Amino acid sequence: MTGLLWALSVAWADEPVERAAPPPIEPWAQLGAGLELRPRAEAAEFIALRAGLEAQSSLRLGVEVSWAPPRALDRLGELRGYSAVSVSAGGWWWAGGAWSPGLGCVVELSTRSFYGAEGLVHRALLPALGVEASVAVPLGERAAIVPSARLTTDLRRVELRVDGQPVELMSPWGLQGSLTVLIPRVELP
Amino acid sequence: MILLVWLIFSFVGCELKVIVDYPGETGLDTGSDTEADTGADTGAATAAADDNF
Repeated sequence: MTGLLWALSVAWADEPVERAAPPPIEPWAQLGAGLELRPRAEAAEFIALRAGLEAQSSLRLGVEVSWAPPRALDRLGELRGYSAVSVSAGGWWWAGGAWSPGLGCVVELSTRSFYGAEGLVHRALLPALGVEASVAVPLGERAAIVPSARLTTDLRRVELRVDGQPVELMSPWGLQGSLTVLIPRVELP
Repeated sequence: MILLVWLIFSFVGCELKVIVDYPGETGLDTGSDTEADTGADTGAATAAADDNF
């Protein structure tokens, strides 16, 4: 009997130790609003919603949807402008710490609806790239408030014409400033 | 991966151009309003308004 117990205890002790389970992949979400500046166009506010999964402890992958209301184009008068709905996919890397700095990179597909006094004139699908710098400031136990700045560039050119006459090329560059709430907040060892 | 996406999109961007053609009068602000402002009030608007009564 004693021998059997000894054999069992040895067998138990010889079992390979299970590896520590990887941390669970956590979902996250981010919601907020901002302002977009584009050369030769009126500034426009926008609403953005992001959600995704934490791929590693410091990298969050996700998808973003944003909407910006109509804005006028400077050289075309107040009645001509465009609005935009954008879908982006990207990754955001967070450094951690009390005020965690973050860097993001997104690929964007934007639908711009160009309108005039008579209504919708043209709807265009424009791919774009963006890089973003952020800071995640803790806001309570679970959330963080995130001021961000993003620089985007369109990958298709847009030529604006009036009555067939070329007026100008729309600037491909856009600068966005936003304030969002991130849940859960960034917590790194 | 991102570089590849960028290259594909750059190629598409080089090949394609979106043309947005607004119909109607141009009504464009050409910036050619260079006439000196003499400050003289011609009273034309007031006269036109008076004609309505």
